[in-house]
Order: sequence, then C-alpha cells, then structure tokens
Amino acid sequence: MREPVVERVLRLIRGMTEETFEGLALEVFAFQYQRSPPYRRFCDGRGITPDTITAWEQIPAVPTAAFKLVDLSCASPEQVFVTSGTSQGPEQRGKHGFPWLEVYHRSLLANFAAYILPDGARPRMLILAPCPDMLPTSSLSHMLEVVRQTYGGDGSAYYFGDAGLDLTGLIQSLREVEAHRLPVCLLGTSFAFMHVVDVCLEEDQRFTLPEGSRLMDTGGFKGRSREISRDELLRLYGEVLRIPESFCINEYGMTEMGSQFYDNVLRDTVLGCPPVRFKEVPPWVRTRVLDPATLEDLPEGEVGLLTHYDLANCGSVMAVETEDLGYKIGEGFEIVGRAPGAEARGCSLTVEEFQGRP
Amino acid sequence: MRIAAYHLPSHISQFETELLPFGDVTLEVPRVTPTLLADVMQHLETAGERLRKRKRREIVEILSAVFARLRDRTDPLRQTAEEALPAITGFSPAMVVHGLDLLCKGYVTDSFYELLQDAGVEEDLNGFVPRRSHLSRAYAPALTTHVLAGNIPGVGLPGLVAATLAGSASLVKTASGDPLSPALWAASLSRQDPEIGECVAVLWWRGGQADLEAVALEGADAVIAYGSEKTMRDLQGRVRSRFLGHGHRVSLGVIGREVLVGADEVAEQSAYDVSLFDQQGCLSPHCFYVEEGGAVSPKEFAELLGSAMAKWAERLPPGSLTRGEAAAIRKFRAAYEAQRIAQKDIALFLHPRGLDWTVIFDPDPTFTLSCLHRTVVVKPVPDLSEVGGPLRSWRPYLQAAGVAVAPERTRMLANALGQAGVNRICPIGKMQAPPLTWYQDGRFLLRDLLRWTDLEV
Repeated sequence: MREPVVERVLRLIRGMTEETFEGLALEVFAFQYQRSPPYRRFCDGRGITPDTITAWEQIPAVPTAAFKLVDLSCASPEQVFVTSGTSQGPEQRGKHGFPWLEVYHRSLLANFAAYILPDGARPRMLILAPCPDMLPTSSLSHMLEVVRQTYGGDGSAYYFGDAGLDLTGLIQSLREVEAHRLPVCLLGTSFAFMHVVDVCLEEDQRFTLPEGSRLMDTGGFKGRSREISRDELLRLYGEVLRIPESFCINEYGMTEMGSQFYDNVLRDTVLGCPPVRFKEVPPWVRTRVLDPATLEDLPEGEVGLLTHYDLANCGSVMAVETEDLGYKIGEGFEIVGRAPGAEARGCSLTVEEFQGRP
Repeated sequence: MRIAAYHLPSHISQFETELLPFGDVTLEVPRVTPTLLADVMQHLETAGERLRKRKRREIVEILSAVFARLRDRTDPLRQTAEEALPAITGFSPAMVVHGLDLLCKGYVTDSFYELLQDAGVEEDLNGFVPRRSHLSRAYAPALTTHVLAGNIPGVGLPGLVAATLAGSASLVKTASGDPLSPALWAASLSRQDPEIGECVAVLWWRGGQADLEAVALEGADAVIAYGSEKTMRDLQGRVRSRFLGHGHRVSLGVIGREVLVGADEVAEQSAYDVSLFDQQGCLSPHCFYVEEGGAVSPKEFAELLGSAMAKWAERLPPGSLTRGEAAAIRKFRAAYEAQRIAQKDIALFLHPRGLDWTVIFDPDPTFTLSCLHRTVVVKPVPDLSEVGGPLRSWRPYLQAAGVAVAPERTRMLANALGQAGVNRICPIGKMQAPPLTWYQDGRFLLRDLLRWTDLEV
C-alpha cells in the first residue's frame, strides 16, 4: 500500500492536470520530514520544519555528499543504487534507496519518451554500457534496461562485456543497420562514445546511419585521458556516424535523483520549433541555479550551483544540492561541469594543491 | 585610478607599456622583453657595487626611515597603497589598512641590527674578520632575483630587506595577485636614497615566459622564490646559483585546557589570526586543537570562536569571493553537514546568511586543510602531549603554531610541535606578525644569501 502523497506524485508524472509541482512539493517535504529521521535532523539543524515554510524554494536541500554517509530513505527500499567508483574508495560511494520503483520508472519513461522518442519511434537500441547483471547497483544500467524493455525494437542489445566495450560487435551491427536502412538508437556514456569515435577515426571507419537514427550520451570526461568540448563531440558524431546534431541528445542524471534531464533539441525538431539546445526540466521537477555566496537565484546566463527539487525522489529527499555548475536558459538549464576548487590566492597551501601533488 | 606598478633604473626610459585592469584600478607595467630585462640586470649589478660600499649603519637608517614613512597614513605612497590594494588584492579596505600597519611594525632599526648580528655580519662586509683561529669574509650576492607569489602585501619584503642589508641588488618579479606593493616599496626606497633605489628593480610579466625567466634566473647570484610546490621544483631545476624557495605552507592553533577559563579572550585572539588576510597566509591557522577538560569543552570553544569570528568580520570585513571560492566553502560545509546528519558528533557554527565565516567542530583528530576564506575546524585532544601525532604526515608543509597554554607547559608543547615540523611557535593572536629574525621555513634567509671565504693563517 503506497502513501497517498506518492500516488499523487505518480498522477502528476502521468500528466494528470489536477496535480501540480507547487501543489505537491510542500506535502512531499512534510512526508519526508516525518519519515526520514536523518533528513529531519538536517532540517531541524537549519531550524526548518513543515510548519515554518510556505514555498517550495524554502525546502532544505541536502548536499549530495550526504548520500555517502547516511540512508535517507522514507521506507524500506525496493532497490538501492550506488554511485560509480571514485578515487576515494567504496565507502565514499553515494547510495540512494527507492522504496517505490514505479515512481522512478514512470519518471524515466515519460521523460525518455518525450525527449528521445518524441516521434513515437521504437528503434533498435545499441547500448554502450554494462547491463544490470554486470552492474546490479548502477542506476544508469537499470535505467537503460528499463528503456530497452519498454521501447527497444527488435535486436536491441548491449555492447559491453567483461572485457569492456565490444567494438567489433558494435561495428558489425552498425554495418548491418546501415545495409538494412533501419534507424537505431545508440545509448551510452560519453566516454564510451569517445572511444568509439577515436577507434573509427583511427581505422578510417565511417557510417551513414539511416535517417531517424539517434544517440543519447551521458556524463562527462572528468579525470579521463582526453577531454573535448561538447561541440567537438557533436561534430565527431556527425563525421563518424552521420547522425545530425539535433538527433544527438545529452542526458544529465545522477544516482541521487529519480529524474533525469535531456537536451530538448530532438523534441523541438520533431515539433517543428527551431532547436536551441539546453536541458529541459520535466513538470515534476524544479531546478534552481544558485549563487554560491548567497544561495539566491541567479539571473539567466550566470553560472552557479545547481539545486534540484525532484518529486520522483519522494521516497528519499526531493531537494538535492549538487556540486554541479550550470546556468539558466529558457525553460531549463545547461550544465558546465563540476565546481572547480579554489585557486591559491596567498601563500597558504590549498586543498587543490595538496590533492594535485604528484 | 591609473598607477605605475614598476620600478626601473633611472636611465631606462624607452619601453612599451601595457595596462592591467583591476576593477577601478589600472596598473601600468612595462612590456618586458629579454633585452630590457638583460639591460636592467646589468645596471643592477653595477649599482649594487655602490650599495656594498655604503656602511651597514647607513643602510639600516635608510630602511628604518622607509618603513617609518610607510607607517604614516598621510604619506602619499602609503595612501596610494591604501587606495589601490583593495581592488588589486581582493582584501577589504579595512583589512588593507590594518595589514599595512601590521606589516610595517616589525621593520625597525633594532630588528635590522638583530638580523645582521644573527647572520654574523654585524660589521661591514668589506674585509676578513677574525672567527675562531682564522679569518672569514662574507660576500653578498651581486644580484638577487625575487620571484613573488600571491596577493598578500609584504610577502616578499623579508627577502628584499635581507638582500638590501647584505648588499645585494634586487630584481623583483611581482605576482599577478599584487604587482603594486613591491613597486611602491622600491619607490619609497628611491625617495629616501636615490642611489640605493637604483639597486632595486621591480617588474611584472605573465608567468610561464621561458625566455624572460631564463634571463631573470640565470643572471642572478641567488634566487628567492615563493609559490606552489610545483613552481618551486620547476624553478629550482633552472637555477644554477643559490635557490631559496618558499613553498605554500599551513599553520594551526593549539589551546590548553588551563587557559579556557578565559575562553572568550582566547577565542577572540584565535579569530583574529584566522580572519587576518582572509586566512590566505602561510601563517593563517587551518584548525585549532583544543584540549578537553577545561572550563569550556572544545565544542563550546568552537561556538565562542564563531561569535568572535563574527566580531572580526565586522571590524575587518572579508574581501570578495569568486563563485568558485564560494562554491568551495559550500562544499566544505556540506561535507560536514552530511556527517552531522549521519549522527557524527559534528557541530557547525556559521554566519547566519552568507559565507563570511565558518567554524566547524569535528572530533576527528586528523589535521584538516581548510578551504580558507575564514573557514576553520576545531578538534578536541584529550591531552596536548598527543598533538604532534596527527601532524606528522604534514611535516613538509607545517609553518606556525599559535599556542595558548600555561607558561610551565609551553616547553613541553614546543618540543612536540617542533618535532612534528612546526618552525614557529608563538602566542595565539600574534601568528600573523612574525619578527624579522624568524627562521622562516626553518632557515635563516639572510645567512642563506651570504657566501663565506675562510682565511687560515
């Protein structure tokens, strides 16, 4: 038996107009305050209770760092996702429990369909990431498996094994779809796509993927051997795969959130609007760009910290303060990367210098 | 406001300039070329001979007068510094005034003589003097190159004063964080004694220009440099003469249980040491170890420290933060807040709205690097004799420890801290005002600059 407030969130995600973000946010907050003891401690520490606030912007946002240390779930989780490894070791991985996976799935599928499959296509999916059997706690693997099962056409498959990316298999499949003129949807991490592009350039392999083919990449290149700009990557997708820029969609998601964000360009192209690329915010989420000095909203275009209020997180904490930097644009935002550390101004040793030493 | 931020030998007047904007202040600096630099260095070497011929007593008098005039807030050069440095360094105007006063305070006649005495060059450096069974003569470098870093006015002054006292001409490469202060100091030296002013040149150029660096480093008999460990290693590899590097350092505070009967005052002094220069200095404490069992607990002390930080934030307002710096403080706070909700015994004492100051109580004894900008961590220790342990792995970086303990425990604590690698132990509240004769980084700058010749007879 799910809580009434969770049912209402589900109705909002399913597009029922009697529910709104504004109408639900404070109720979800009150629910979470009551059901998650660590979150209640967090709010009490800030002197905020459901009785003291009147607007969703006042809901205390938990820093992503807290997911590393404490279980924020409001009920026993059906599934726990764990963030991918960091140099700080396994104990420093963030964990996010979902007591009601249906909420996660509804949010995922509604959003994926709107931004990746706005034309109603059900293409064959070529997935450049480990399947859930390989990485059972990865939210990305789970997410890709759910969309494969729901929307994937015949022949949808993973191209990732124990030895890593299965390039031979991928190239073979790409030649096949090229010959049969069947549009595909490529899905994977930006890092995996970078690898594919590098190998193709090196071996002088070029593909002309059928019209309607699309690509969704996720994540950045932080700490990887090669970092390139988004524009350059889009150009390379065009050169190697012949997928037009408006069919290349970047996804921004995190284990700490039940909802994801996608570039709006494919959806806008299908709707016949001139595409201006940014991440759109679904109706059950609000994203604020905050000045780190004052925690007040920044005007459009100014870079600040991204804080998300995601009702799909109704089973843990809906307000999440990230370490990601971005700026507001249109009805959404664009991400520019992780907050850089502070450079030394004076003669004191800084964390950045100390961590960066050989 | 447009200000010339350089000092060149008087005969050099043909050079192109460029402008460095810092908000309302624009600095004019020469566009330095290898030819200009070589010309300047050749002139400095020649001018240095006149410096070495002067009596040390005269040099001491000149330097004393220079600093006396800079202490005077009606002095035009001092006024230029007060007006321009907030925009250049990012410190608040009140901080600049306070910092300049504090800085000039230590440079007085007696301390210059003490410096010379400690280096064994009380007499003039122009002959062999008896030492044990033989004679010795000290030689100063003909020319010392100073590579400065950071935004704290006066970081390079001990080196400049030491070189001048020793009789070495100086080429100063200023930092992008403060190209002005060294130029004003050189101008004030020239004003006091034009001949000695000819022995100092101050220039700025963008870092990483190998051709200029080669001239500046190879043409000097000694190089004094400030900056990151990476910069130090890089410079050291390219200097064939004497290299005296001052890498970035960290400092801390240590408070004994017996002084916590006067915890308010100790907190006030501790907060001053943190707040000064917005904690950017190598003498700025990152954390305070507070002994358990006193009149207030370490956690209560952290709260008092927060109140004292608030007072100092009013008296000496913090400077501006970049978005990156503000984000770093948020991240630092967030990590502790996460621990607090995980029911660790963490307490945060924060400026109610902004990021003016941050005090965190954390029972983990590990030494913690702060993200700076008035962010400090208070850690309990059961007994002060244990304070050296957590510091051991920080030995290469340790600078000063401000201490507040009963006199009879000072020696014990000093032994523990000295053993751990701390090179200056001083009362809390005095951390940012070291005497000129301090063995900075565990060495003695003036003596390190000198070269000795022994004559056995």
